[in-house]
Order: sequence, then C-alpha cells, then structure tokens
Amino acid sequence: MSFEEFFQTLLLILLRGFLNTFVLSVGGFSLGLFLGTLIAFVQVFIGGVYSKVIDYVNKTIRSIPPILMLFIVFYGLKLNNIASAIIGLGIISFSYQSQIFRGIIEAIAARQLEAALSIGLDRWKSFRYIILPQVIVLSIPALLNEFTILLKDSSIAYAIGVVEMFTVSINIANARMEYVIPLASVAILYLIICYTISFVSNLIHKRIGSLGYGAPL
Amino acid sequence: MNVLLKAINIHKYFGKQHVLKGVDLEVEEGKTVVIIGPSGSGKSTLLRCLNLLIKPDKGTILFNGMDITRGKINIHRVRQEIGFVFQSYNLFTHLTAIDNVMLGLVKVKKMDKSMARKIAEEALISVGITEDLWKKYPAQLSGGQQQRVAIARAIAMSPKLLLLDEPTSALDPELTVEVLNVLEKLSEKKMTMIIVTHELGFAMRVADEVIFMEDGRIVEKGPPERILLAPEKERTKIFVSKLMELYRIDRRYK
Repeated sequence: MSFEEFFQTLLLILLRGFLNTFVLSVGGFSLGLFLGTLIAFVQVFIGGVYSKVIDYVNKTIRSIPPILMLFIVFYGLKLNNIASAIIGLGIISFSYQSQIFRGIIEAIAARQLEAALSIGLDRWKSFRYIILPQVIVLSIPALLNEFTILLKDSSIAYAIGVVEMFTVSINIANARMEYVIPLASVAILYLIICYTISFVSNLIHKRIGSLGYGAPL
Repeated sequence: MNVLLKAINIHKYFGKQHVLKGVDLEVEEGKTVVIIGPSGSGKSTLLRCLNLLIKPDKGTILFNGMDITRGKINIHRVRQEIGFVFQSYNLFTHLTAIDNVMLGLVKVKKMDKSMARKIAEEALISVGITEDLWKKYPAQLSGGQQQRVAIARAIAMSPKLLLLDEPTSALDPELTVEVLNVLEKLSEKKMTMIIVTHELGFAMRVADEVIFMEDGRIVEKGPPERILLAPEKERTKIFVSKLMELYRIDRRYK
C-alpha cells in the first residue's frame, strides 16, 4: 500500500462521490431547517394540541432507522433515488432540528418577550427584532453539529443506489477486490469534513459564549 | 392631585389557583408606591396586570382616565407609557447597552437614529452609566449596571408610570445601593412609580404610600411611617417585624 495509491483512491472518491454527498446533506439539511423552524415556532407560539401532535410525529420519526426511512420514501413515493434520499434525510433532520430550535426558543422566549412587550413592541416586532436574531445566533453551533450527523447519515443512500462518497468507495473496493484502502480513504474524507465543521462550530460557540448569550446549548 | 392609575377589583386565576382576589389600587401622579408582602402574595402578578403583561380575569384598570381593560384599546400603545423593570433585568442579550435603550425609541416611537441616540445617551447618563459602558453587551456588565441600563431603557420611552418588580432582589448589597439611588432620584423628579421591594429603609425615605399584600389581597396601606412602624393589622405587624429583624444590626455583634 503506497501513499500514492492511497492518495489516488482518496481523490477518486472525492471527485466521483463528493458532489452527491454534498447535495444529499445540504438538501436534506435545508429541508430539515425549513420544516424544523416552522414546526418549532408553531410548537412554542401556538402550542396546545398542535404541539402534542408534533411531539408524537417527532418521536415516531426518530424511532425509525434512517435506512428504513429512506426505503419508505423511495419505494413509497416512487421518486428517483436522489430526491428520495434528500426527502428521507430531510424528514429525519427536521425532527432533530425542530427540537434544537424549540429548546433555544423556550430558553430565551419568556423573559425576552416580556421585556420586548413591556417597551411597547407588538408581538411581531418582538419576534422579529428580539427573539429571532438570538435564536439564529444561538442555534448555529447545534445546527452545525446536526449537519455533521446528517452528512454521515447520507452514506446510507448507498442502499438505494445513490452514487455518493461511500458508494464510490465500495464500488472501487469491489472492482479491485481490495477493501482496506478504499474504506480507509472514505473514512478519512468523512473525518476531515466533520472535523473541520465541528472545529468551526466550537469557534462560534466560544464566540457566542464571550458575547454572553446565556441559553444552554 | 390627578389620579394616574386606578385599578378596581382585580382578579386573576392561574388554572384553579386564585392569585389576585379583588385588588383595588389608586396611584396619584408623581407619587411613589411601595408594595411589600411575602412571596406568593401576588405582588408580581399584580404589577404585570397593571400593564397587561398578564391579563386580569376580572376588574378594571383606568390609566390616565382610560379603561385599558376594555377590548378596543391598543395595548402596545399603552405599554409605551408604562415602563417595566424586571427582577432579572431582562436586557436584550444580543444588543449593546445603548442599543437596548435605543430599540424602543427607533422601532416603537419611530424616531430617527441620531435623535434616539441622544435620548438614549441622556437616559444612560441619568442612571450613572458612563460612556465607556455604552458599547458593552449585557453579559459584560455587572448586575447593578445591567439593572440601571434596564431602568434607562424604561425611562427613555418617557413613560408616565414606571413599574418595578423587585429591582434589587438579584443584586448584592453594594449594587443594590447603586440602583436604589437611581430610583430615589427618579422619585425626587416626580416620576410616578410602583415598586415591589423589601428594602425598608428605601421605602421609608422614598415612598409616599406603602401597601402590604398577602394571599392575593391588600391587607393594609398607608404612609410608610404608619405601615412600617405602627401597623394596625396583626399580619402586617408580624411581617414587618420579621423584615426589621433581618435588617437589624445588634450591638452585641460589635
């Protein structure tokens, strides 16, 4: 096993697989972000029966293994495999992201909202100028963390035939009848990406801490 | 004297719990009213009812002669004229001290920024927050400084009435003095205030009226000398004597 061979495999996986890995994780994450924010605000600001129903939906989603979720979407909706993977990952990610947002909103909302209303801001302006900016900043580290989880989860799209990084590495391995180098290469790629993101996330976390945001993360 | 605020027969329930059981209150313009009472007596709830942060279940609140508990009133407009200071300061965490004070002026009163900045600076100076602190975030300020910024935020809106919910309870003694001095100055300038506090010395010096509340009712009210030194009701006597005991300095310890 030469270094050159190793590096070539790594590059090959990156060239052939990274785009789809990127599309799946960013697509799934964006879908999750959209649904997650929406649902979290419904839960906190409307609450009641909606909140209970959403809680059950969330629990159900989180009880389903990610790979099964992908199969359900793929065979159930009969979409192409990339779209199915994005939707499947999006649904999984949404259930986690809505909890992230909900936690942060609940940690800051009561007191900050009271203060905002007390100076004469209406509900919409309180939300727009006081609650939302804080939620965005406070949620960044947790969201980046969630993104790395989703990025790794995107490898299960292998099961429905999406050619992303993991699939490429398996294909190379099968063709060469040699597994160590392709699998080690793809592992290192995931490691580099995730490590970089969590490094950035930690930096942001510290920066937020020094600004004194008190909400628990 | 002009009656600025009149609350008649205020009731509030939290679920089955009857928190306010028919409170009547009248505050004249320029007066300082201090509310004392054990925790759970409904002081904070009463204060929040007065600017409708909590909606009373029954009763009428007349502010400046206007019934603000009736449906058609724009409560956000009314709240511009009633400042509120919280026990835990509740400054906007993501904004600097001066931006905390300016926000209401710009977003609520629609002032242009330079005008708002001028008023905010005056308000901050009046509570003793010097220029070096204006650009600091709440977390970079001491509790006393945060509470004074919160007072500046409230008074910058030039409210007709200021409600303060245990403004010094979260502060250590030195910082408490900082904040009480600011409040004493406001009282001298005839700002109308209702303050929930257990600082008896402050109440004695500054209050025009002291109200003792217990169990959702007003037990006794009157001038501070009477309520604090010669209360009539047995329950007031016990409560005040306990507070006195707490703050007493005994010669034995010399």
